[in-house]
Amino acid sequence: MERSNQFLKKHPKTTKWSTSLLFLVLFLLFSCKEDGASHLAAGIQSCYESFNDNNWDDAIEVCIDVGTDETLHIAAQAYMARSGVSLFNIMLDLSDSTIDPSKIMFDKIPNTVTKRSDYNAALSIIMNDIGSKTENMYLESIILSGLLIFDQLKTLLTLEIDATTDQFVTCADDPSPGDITQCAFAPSNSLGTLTFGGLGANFYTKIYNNTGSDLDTVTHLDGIPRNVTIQKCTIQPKSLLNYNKIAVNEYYKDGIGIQSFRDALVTFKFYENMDDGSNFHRDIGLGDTYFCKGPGSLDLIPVEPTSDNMKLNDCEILGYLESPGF
Amino acid sequence: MTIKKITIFIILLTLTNIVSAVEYRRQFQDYRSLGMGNTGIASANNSATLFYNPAALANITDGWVDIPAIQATYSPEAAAIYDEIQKGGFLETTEDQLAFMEEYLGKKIYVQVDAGINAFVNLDKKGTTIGGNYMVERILDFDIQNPALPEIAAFERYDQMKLVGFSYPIGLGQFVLGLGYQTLIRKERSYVFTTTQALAGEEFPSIALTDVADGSSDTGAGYDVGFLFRFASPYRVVFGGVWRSGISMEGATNIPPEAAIGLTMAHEFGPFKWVMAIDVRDLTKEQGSEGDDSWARRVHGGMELAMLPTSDLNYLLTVRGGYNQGYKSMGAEFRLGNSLVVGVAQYSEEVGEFAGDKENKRTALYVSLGF
Repeated sequence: MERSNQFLKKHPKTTKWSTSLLFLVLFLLFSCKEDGASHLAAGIQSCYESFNDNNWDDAIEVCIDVGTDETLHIAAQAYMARSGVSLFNIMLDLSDSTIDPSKIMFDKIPNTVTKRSDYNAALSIIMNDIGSKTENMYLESIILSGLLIFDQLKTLLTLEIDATTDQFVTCADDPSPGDITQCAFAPSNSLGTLTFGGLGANFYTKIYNNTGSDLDTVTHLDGIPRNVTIQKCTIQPKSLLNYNKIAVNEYYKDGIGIQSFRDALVTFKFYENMDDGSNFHRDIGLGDTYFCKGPGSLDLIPVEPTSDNMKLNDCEILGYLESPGF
Repeated sequence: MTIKKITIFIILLTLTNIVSAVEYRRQFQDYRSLGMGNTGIASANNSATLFYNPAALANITDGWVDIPAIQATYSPEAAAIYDEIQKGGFLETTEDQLAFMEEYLGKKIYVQVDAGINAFVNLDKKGTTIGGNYMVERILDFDIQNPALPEIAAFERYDQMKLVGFSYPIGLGQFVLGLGYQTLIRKERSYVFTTTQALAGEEFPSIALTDVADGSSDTGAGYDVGFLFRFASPYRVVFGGVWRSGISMEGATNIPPEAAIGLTMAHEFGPFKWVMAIDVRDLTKEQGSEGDDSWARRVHGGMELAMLPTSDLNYLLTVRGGYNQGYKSMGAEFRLGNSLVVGVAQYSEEVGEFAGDKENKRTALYVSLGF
């Protein structure tokens, strides 16, 4: 018993103060915080923290640098947030069946070069850089590609909301709904000469990502052979329309997308809506001058099928522009 | 469960891997240790001793039974969960879910409740002590994140723990050996509930106090081997160490093995006792994310000043302070022998990737009745 309790006996060599000092020194050392860490999880955490703190620039830089699917998605969302896109508000509005989805999206159309750049960057990250995509990513891609295509259509169709009626009006509504004759891009017939200048370079470069190197010139027949350039453009893999097509295909698969969003975003299935497999048909002349289609709905140029051949021609697009659904 | 629900559940479980789980989730950490910077490898001397080092049972010179012992640990925003439950359910409507996500965006809500019975008895003053705990631990941990599209990253756990152990002095009594054994039943689940799910009208996973519905579960057992070396000093300088085998599980998260050391000393003067302690935990760096080499997260230091002794071991009042993973901690205790113990600790847990990265402040409230 006595020997067992020896540890409790006083020991002259040990001093109270030296032992206490040791503890205090260790204590001070242990209270230190660290400046950072270099392992992968620390990078992911740093990405999240910048994002959660609304430091968009930092989040974009850090998250891209870390480079995992998870952080790349955060980077894409940071691009959206930086340009003022609130996915939360968009989804909140889209889930409200009393609000016209087109009007929701119309308000979010990017209106500066910087915003367009951020939208494009976010979309590119999701579609090109992220390996394994989730349902939400496809939804975000529909929204982003939709807004950027909507941006081009807004210009092309001089799209605006009438303050009096609170309805969309386009150049295709004048003089009557579905009549594109007042639109800048409309084909015209002047003294028997058929003129069509295409839909503008922006349309092809920004929506198809096609600079025009593979445009086709089609001989147009309306009883009298005429050479009119009908753009038969190949949609490039890294284009808004292709992103829209892929995202829609995935999000509208059975059991994937949320039904209320699917219903709300029907108008933004741009590829599907444009590629309807039929040509624009309108008598634009004085009795016998036709464009795209002739008498008896005879196609004057070959119809592009609705299959995924990644080609759309102007006749198909004009048919869409007559009645875009908003 | 419908096919749709099963699909969602699988998606949620898959998403879990995306969310970084970076907190060192240790089993029951008690108010005394937490108040002292979460130290206890050499200094533990209360009902939580077996969770730190079975050899530290030798610090117990008394005997008691706690029926019950309850500790609630929570972060400042935990009242939000209480408020939700008061509504008659937890995030039952889409409006509640969205409002909750918006209001607590960027916050981490943490609630942990431990309850159980404990029994310890010292067989001689040299340090032969045996004891055991039967405890249940329930954790709710919500991270509300993503300002673009708010989501709740949730973690839930329900543990049922049975621990037994003893300490035995060897030779002259300077060296003490301790052995502990634990069985564990664990249920847990992680999931992410997103804005899109809320807008789609999906139900928030139901939460029960004593179960984890739809969670994965497993059972396991592990052992601990510890030692104390008590220096020949009037200041009770004690060096301790422990090897915890960890518990391997297939259906739930493993408890990683752990090696830890600690140093403590105590000065007694008049009606006061001043205890200092330093621990270095997880020496083999099993905790945390891959590549987490932070030592500052693994060191703990603290002290306590006990006043007005009621026995060799017990004091009427005690105040505490320390550093846990680089953050300050403090605590206090009121004790009427073994019949009533009321304790509190305020501390911070590192929930980021290095000490000082992401602080989560917490409070631990403890009460036990016994004899």
